[in-house]
Amino acid sequence: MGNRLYDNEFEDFLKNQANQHRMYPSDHVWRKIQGEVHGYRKWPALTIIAVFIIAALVVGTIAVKPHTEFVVQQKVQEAASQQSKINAASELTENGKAYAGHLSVNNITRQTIAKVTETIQTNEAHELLILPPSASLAEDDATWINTTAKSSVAAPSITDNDTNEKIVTEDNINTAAHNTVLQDTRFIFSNNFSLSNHGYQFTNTAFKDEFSFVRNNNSPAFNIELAASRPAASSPLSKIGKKSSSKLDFQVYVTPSISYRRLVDDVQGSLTKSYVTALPYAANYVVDLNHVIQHRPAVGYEVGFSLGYNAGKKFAIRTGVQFNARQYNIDAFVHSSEPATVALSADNSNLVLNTVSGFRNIDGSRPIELKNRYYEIAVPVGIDWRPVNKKFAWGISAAIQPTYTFDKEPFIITSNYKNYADGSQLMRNWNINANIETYLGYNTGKYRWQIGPQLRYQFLPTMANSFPIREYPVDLGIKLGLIRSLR
Amino acid sequence: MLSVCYRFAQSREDAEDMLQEGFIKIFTQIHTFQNKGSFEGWIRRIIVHTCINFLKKYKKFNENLELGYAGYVAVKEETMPSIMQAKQVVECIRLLPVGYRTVLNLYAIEGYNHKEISEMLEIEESTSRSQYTRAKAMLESILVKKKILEKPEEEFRLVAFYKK
Repeated sequence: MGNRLYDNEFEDFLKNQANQHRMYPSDHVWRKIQGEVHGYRKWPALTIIAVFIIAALVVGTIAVKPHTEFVVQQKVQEAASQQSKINAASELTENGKAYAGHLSVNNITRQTIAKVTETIQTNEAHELLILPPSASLAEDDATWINTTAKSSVAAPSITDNDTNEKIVTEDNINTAAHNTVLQDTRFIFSNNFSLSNHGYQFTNTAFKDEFSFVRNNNSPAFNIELAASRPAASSPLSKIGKKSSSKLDFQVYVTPSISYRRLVDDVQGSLTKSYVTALPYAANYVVDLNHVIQHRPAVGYEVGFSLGYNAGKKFAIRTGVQFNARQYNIDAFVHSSEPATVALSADNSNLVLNTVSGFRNIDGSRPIELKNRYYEIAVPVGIDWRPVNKKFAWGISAAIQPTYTFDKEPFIITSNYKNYADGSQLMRNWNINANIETYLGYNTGKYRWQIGPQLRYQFLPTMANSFPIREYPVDLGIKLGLIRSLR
Repeated sequence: MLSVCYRFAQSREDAEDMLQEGFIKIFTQIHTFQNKGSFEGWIRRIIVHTCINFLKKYKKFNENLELGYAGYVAVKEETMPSIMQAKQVVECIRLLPVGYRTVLNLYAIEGYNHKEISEMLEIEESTSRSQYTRAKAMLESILVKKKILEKPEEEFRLVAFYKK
């Protein structure tokens, strides 16, 4: 056996040497510990992908426009060039020239008319009037088509009345049909359409008030006064015939908002009972948390898309996917790490969460602004009611949103209101939100732009029921949306 | 605490893994600390138990080795930089086989008795004692070879031999 005194000295020597030895772990060890204890901060890949997809959809929807006027424009231009060739080559008399020119224009535009007629018939239009472009219009030509008869009529002759106004009258077999008022007549003009200031008087023609330069003087006859300036836009082929309303539509929207929060203490006063040993206040003293905790709203946003089913002209049901970023700021002070206690209550028993905090609510070494942040994904399901839905629209919309919080950074106040600690482990991941909004909309064909205020409220408290302080975030924002009808 | 783990571990990476596991346990179980005794002592016990569990999990314990093995422990003095003696001693402890090293750490430095060591390592108490004796002798020879310790005086050996 060895010498015991030597053994003790040897052990003391080892102990002293071991205690003098110092080693310091690298940063990644502490980061891993932080991640395991508090959860890893995930790179917001889902956020970025969702924002990218929504942005691509918005840009693609706005940028891609259907080319509906190409056929008409091109054909009409060909008619104009053909007309000039015929005029140059013809050796007919003056009347013959006019007649030949008229006929040649008709021959060429018949191809266009056949194509257009086919389109119109599928859209159940009754009749339309086609005015050829300016070059041939100088010949005072007009073509009037009755699509139900599937025939094109000869150009009505144009005569002067006593006032030297040019009048177009029909002189063909379809006259009788043209005496009735037609509901769905459309005009097709080429894009480069322009006329001199001639007035045309037509009989028995109805029209839609889509063109500002067309005026109805409440008589069977009407005047078309065509100003020197060109019309703002020609009616696209896709609008010929009856307007059929789409059942489905697609909406993308963005809502910059400000996040407030409402803090509610336990109404039964059990909060003060739990902390009676920690609070410097009397047990029956009611503390307004919203005065004790210095928080300020911050800017967040919602981005999403939805699919709507139009149950009627004024009512729609909508559902979609939405990403929410809500945050608010807390004024605190940096302090050296110190133990912090959060009392919890569950099933009539009191539990205590001991943690460590580096932030104080009261004065510390330097002020700091803590960013309380939540990233959520929600599936709103709601209704959209539009009492006014014409060129301008006004509507009210409401939805329920089951919400999942996938990234969070919450700070909770400790029991003695002295420190702020990380509340991630107490926070609910699932919650229910609801939103209500009103908007003004502007319809442009297939699209509707809308803008209006929105209020969003969270139903369940942010933290679990065991945490006595209940937080209810409220977001107030301006929603900007674009809706496109789907056919 | 990393130096505590370093004495038990095969490498610095293992030591950091032990430290990470240990502190995760500390932070998640901090609410169970009852303010009885030193907070550092409570942390140290958790770290030591974590080190033992880590070694058991990855089956780091070797079989018993003879004293003569000490002669074959590669002590390359020329590769060890000139550092403070504490680190040299710790490095010498780490040169021991893992079984010897663990028992030596627990008994000589951490202050556990052989009964507690036998329960922690799931060995016999006598095994713990013999392991410690061999570990101490091996460490002593390493320290002497590295000239950190002087050779024990001859007279004690003569007395022991005579008594036999």
